[in-house]
Amino acid sequence: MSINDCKIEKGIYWIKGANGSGKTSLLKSIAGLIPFEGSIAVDEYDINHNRMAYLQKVNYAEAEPQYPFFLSGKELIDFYRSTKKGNFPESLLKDMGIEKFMHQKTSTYSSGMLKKLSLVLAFIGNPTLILLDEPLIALDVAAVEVLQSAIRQYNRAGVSFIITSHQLFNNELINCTTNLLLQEKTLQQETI
Amino acid sequence: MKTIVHILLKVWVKQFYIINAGFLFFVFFFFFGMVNGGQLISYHISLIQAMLTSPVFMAVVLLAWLFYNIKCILFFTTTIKAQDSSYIYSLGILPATQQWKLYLFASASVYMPALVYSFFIIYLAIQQSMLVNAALVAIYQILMVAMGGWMLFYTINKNTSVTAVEKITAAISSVFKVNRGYYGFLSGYILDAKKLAFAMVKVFSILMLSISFVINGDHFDEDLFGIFYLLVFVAHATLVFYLVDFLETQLQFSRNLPMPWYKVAAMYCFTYGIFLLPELAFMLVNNHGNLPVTVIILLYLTTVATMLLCTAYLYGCGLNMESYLFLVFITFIMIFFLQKTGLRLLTLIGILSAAIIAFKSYYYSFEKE
Repeated sequence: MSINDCKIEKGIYWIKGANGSGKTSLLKSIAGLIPFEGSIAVDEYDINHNRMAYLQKVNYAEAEPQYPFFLSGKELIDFYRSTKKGNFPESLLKDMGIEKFMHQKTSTYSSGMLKKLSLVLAFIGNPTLILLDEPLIALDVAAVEVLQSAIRQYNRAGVSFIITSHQLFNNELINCTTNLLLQEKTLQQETI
Repeated sequence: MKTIVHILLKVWVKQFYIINAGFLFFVFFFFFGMVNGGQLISYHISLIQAMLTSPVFMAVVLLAWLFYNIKCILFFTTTIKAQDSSYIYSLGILPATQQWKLYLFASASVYMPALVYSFFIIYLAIQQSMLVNAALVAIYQILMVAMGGWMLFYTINKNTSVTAVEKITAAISSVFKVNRGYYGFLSGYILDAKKLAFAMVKVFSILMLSISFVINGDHFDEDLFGIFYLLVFVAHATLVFYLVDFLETQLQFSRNLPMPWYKVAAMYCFTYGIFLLPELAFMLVNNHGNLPVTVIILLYLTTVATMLLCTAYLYGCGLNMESYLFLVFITFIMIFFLQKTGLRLLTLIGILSAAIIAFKSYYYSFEKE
């Protein structure tokens, strides 16, 4: 994949692209999970020059989250909180309905519960950009509503989102600023 | 009946010892590995003597056995409640006496290490005419086995979602549950998922060190020890591979967290330092003046630094096992010759510097092959 000088303003972005077009790779690069050539910056922070400050600003939730089976949800939340600092989305944890399972090991969680946990973790701290890779996979109807409300609420507070999803969002709750189209190994902006 | 015993041995007893191999090895090493072979029997006789004469010491031992039994009971409840173990409930159709026999057998089998040790305590107590103490230990151990058997009987025949025993044991275990924290994630993984490999590495290490310090203790050969110690390092190189693989697959999300490279390197060093403590303790306890203590400590620190260097190799070669083994072999040769120079402090500084530079260079550019 090769992206030349792409700049996006604050907002909610929906990345579209066929399977294998590189949506997850792009999000992982922005999140600092995999190396790349060039530079990525959020606000004034460049990942290559000010990595720690950059990672305080960018949060990421994987499409199919996997966590060490011997850790509990609480241990993971404590881990994130100790590094990301800042706010903890307590109401999101409660509304997702996973609060009471936090003391159990993640090996006992269903795929839906793992997904909800990963989404809660993505809202920890004071991010200005949250990357959500297929956030609706494995979620029940109630949790989809809760997530959409959280995205809208955080966006109003100034947090931007880049989302990949093959499932549609409720347009009344989430108005995407722009669609980002991944095709022919590059990224194009498509104004709605 | 024979078939059922065979199945129970497989699904409960064997599994219990496999899952708890690391824990049992640690306890075994603590009580038997740290003491010089020649003093082992007199050491344990003094321990038992102290137990028989001091009520406080006896109470502590009884409490330790109770905790071990609770660990066994927790294992049974977890196994029975597991989704793939629903067939175990079919034992409930057997006559009660037959069930009791099976459950007592299973309970005694997993509780066996404590039973074996208490057999020697009872033997010594009878020899010294301390019959009350002997009876106390015997009755206590019968109660422990009966407790495990009763719990199995209750869980299988009542088939409730949460038994009273589970509630009690869950409450006890939650009291003793420790939040590992970031620095405990790596050791937690090895002790949970790779405990058998860990136990094998430790048995091999102690065996290598025993040859130099115990078997050849009177004719200590520093050159031979140098080779055996390098083999200890090579054995630990497998654990390094497991840890980097774990961090970069199951904990890959941690790269999205604002943690600088030196904090990750420090976490690796901390884990290696903990893992090598049994070797350090063994060498210090069984040294008897063969090596200066400073040399032993420098060896320990050099091994921690070399394991960090191996970690950097893995980041550099994208977790490719073939390249990794080649680099470990090169390191083996390099340290072998560095040892010959006798410049131990310089060797430590050199390896640590190389490890830090390599780790910093490769950590952020790592991508699994």
